[in-house]
Amino acid sequence: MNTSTIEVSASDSGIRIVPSKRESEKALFLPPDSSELIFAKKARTPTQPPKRIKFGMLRDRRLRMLAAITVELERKTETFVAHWPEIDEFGYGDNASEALEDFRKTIEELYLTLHERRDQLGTDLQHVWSVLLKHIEMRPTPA
Amino acid sequence: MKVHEFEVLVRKLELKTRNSYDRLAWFEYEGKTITRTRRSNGNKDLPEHFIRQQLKLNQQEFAGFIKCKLYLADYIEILKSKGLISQASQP
Repeated sequence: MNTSTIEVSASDSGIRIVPSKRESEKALFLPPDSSELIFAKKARTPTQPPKRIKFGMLRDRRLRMLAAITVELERKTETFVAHWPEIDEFGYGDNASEALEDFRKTIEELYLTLHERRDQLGTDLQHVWSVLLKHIEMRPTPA
Repeated sequence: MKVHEFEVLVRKLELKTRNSYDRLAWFEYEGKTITRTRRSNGNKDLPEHFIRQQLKLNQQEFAGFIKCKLYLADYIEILKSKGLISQASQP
């Protein structure tokens, strides 16, 4: 456990806390309904993108997300790939955000294409379609 | 994998294509869509491993198509052997 010294001095007007130089450089907060000061740690910027993320963002207004998709991110030589192993779908780009944007457009396109052909799919694409249906649905068209 | 190699596959496997956001390609057999793949429009290197998986090919088979050692009839046989096309289907 990290301990630090805080100097406390009592005076007529109350108690004055004099933090050490090191402590005074840290941001202090007094949470509401609490008498305990807390130190805020500076958030560290991640140096590497995560290897796996929950993807839940569609922009096509015809579609609606039902459940997030677990997407694996990996670098292949100079390309980033966002991969959904369950149905072997992917998006790619120069960095993680480009790969995810490509993945989003690909998934939207795939859903709409398979929706059109849903009665003429082979066994593998029937599986892909059934997995897609667990994650995405078509918005009802307004009457 | 280069864009022109992808186009070799499209020709060799007689994939149907559509250009929208991506260049979509799918393989149809007896009126059914059996496999699909895609590439982004542009000249970036394509992730070969993932395209290969979508077309249900192993590394050796994939290389065979790129190097013109395998043809459409071979692809149909590969898909039959993997149970993706019914064995009873006629080419």
